[in-house]
Amino acid sequence: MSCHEFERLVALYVEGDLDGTEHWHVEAHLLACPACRNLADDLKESQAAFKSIRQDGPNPAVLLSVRTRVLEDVAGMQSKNWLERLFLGGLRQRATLAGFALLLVGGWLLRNSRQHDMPAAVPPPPVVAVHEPQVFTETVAPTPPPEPETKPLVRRPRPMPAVAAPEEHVEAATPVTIKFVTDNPNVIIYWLGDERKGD
Amino acid sequence: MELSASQLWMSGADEEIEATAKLIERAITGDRTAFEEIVLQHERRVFTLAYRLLGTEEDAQDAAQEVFLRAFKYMRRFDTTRPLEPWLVRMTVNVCKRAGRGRTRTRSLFVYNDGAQQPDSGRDPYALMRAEEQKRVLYDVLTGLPEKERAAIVLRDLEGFSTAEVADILGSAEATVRSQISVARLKIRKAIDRMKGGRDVVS
Repeated sequence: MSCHEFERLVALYVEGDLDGTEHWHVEAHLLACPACRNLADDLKESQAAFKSIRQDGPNPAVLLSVRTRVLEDVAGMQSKNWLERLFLGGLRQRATLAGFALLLVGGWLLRNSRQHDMPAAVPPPPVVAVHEPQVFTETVAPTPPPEPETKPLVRRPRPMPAVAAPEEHVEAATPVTIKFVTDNPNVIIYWLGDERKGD
Repeated sequence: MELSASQLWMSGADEEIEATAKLIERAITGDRTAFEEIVLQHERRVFTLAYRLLGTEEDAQDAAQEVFLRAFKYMRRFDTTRPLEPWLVRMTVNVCKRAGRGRTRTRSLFVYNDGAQQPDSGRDPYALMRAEEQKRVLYDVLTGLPEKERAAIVLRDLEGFSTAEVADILGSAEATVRSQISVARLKIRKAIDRMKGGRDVVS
C-alpha cells in the first residue's frame, strides 16, 4: 500500500476509528514512514483545532427567541387541534360524524314518511243484516267511522271560527242495546250500538 | 477510553428517561409547561447542531423551530423507553438536509456567551485575533464541505457520536461514513495548513 493510500487510514487512526488489524497496520507503517508520521501529527493538530469549536455556543437571546416562537406555534397547534378534533379529526372521527349525521337524517325522513303514508282508520263494515229475528226486526244504522287518532302534520294557518268542530257529531250519539232472540232459547245475542239524535 | 454520545446518555439514563417520559406524557395531554421544559433541555444541542450543519444563525433558528414543532406533532409516536435526544438529533439532521438545499443566507459566527469562552483581557490580543481567524476558517471549511461529509464530520467529531451511530443517524453504510469522515478530516487539515502559512495553530 502506498503512502497516498495510507492517508485516509491515518485520518481515521488519529481519532481511534480503526479496528484492531487496521490500527496495527497503520501503526507499523507510521514507524517506518516519516512522511506519514508528519501527516499524523498534522492531523492530530488540525483535529484539536477543529474540535475547539465544540465549545462554541449560541447566544441565550437566540435560544429564547427560538423557544418563544416554538411555544407560540405549539399554542396555535393546540387550539387548531381542538377544532380539528371537534370537526375535522382523523378518518375514524369523520366516519363517525358522517354516520351519526346519516342516522339523524334517515330517522327524520322515516318519521316524516310514516306520518304522510299513515292510512286513515278503517271504518267497521256496515251491518246490512245480521239476523232475521222472529221477535224484533230493526235496522241499525251503521256507526260513522271514528276520527283518526293521529292527523298528518299539516301546517294550518289558523283555525277558522266558522268551521264547526267535528266532536259535536260524536257527542250526539247515545248507547243502545239490542237484544236478538233466536230459535234456541239458550242463545241470546246482544248488539251494543249508538243511536244518533234525530235517527 | 472515550465514550460516545449515546454511551454518555446511557450512563445514569434510566432516571432521565423516566423523567422525560413523564414530561412527554404531560406534554401530550396539553401541558405547555412540560413541553417548554423539554425545549429548554434540548434547545442548545438542537440549535448548535443545526448551526454547524447549516452555517447561519437564521437558518439554524428556523431549523430548530421546525425540529421542536415536529417533535411536538409526533410526540405520541415516540417510544418513551428510549432517550429523547438521539431522536431529536436524527430529526435535526433530516430537517437540515432539507433546509440546506437552495439557501442563500450568508454565514455568521456564534456569539460566545459562556464565561469560559469570553475573551481574556490578560491574553495576547494577537493570539485572540489568530484564534478568531482560525475559527472563521474552520467554519468556512465546514460549510464548504459537501453535505454528506459535513454531516458525518459534525456528528462524529463535534457531536461525539461513534461511527456506527453516525451511520445509523444518516442512514448510510458504516464504511461510507468512515470514508466521508476521513476525507473531511484531510480537507480540514489542508485548510488549516493554508491558513497557518507557517504560523502555529491555536488549539
